[in-house]
Amino acid sequence: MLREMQSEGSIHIRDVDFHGLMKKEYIALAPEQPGVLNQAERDLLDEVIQFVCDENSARSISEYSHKLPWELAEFGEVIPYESSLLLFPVETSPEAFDEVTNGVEEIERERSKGGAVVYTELKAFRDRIRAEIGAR
Amino acid sequence: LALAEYDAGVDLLVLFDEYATLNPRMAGTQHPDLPHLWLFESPSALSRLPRVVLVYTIEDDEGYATLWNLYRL
Repeated sequence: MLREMQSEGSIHIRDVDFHGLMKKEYIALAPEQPGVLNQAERDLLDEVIQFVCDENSARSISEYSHKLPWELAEFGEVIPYESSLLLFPVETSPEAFDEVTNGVEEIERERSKGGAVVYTELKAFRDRIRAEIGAR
Repeated sequence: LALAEYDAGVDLLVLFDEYATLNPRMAGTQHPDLPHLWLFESPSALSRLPRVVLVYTIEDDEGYATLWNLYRL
């Protein structure tokens, strides 16, 4: 794909010296085609670019990728996409504790009914959410 | 959750489901004042994800965890 973009003149690829090592740089020569990405998708790309290029190095990105999801997967097993969220350590925030403290009456009311809506398969739960909000 | 956050929200639920199935005590944090409740908060490093906290209980005798609510932070 990169070669195709290079031959049509939309990007320029060059090798540059980076602290004694060779690094490939990809330079856009043409603006993006309008209408291909929506604003949310552009925001996501910007966020990823900032995280990878500005806030990390190849080494730190490699270290991220060898955390819990990688350790949980069996050898040769496909690492589940969702487990990428485990790359980031999460400390429960004080506002989360407060929110739950404030909502405990509601939770206890439901618990006392013994009426948990039981879905043994997450797919059934997801399908219900999709149906209720009319998601694609 | 808003429709725009639906996919991210589902990713979060799938993650929680897998994580809690593996080890519900590892998946979250026990509430210090309400020790029967456990909290799973979405990773704040990713702005794509809605900031939410999931509340669940661990039923050791039955061998499962029950998700009770989701709060928007």
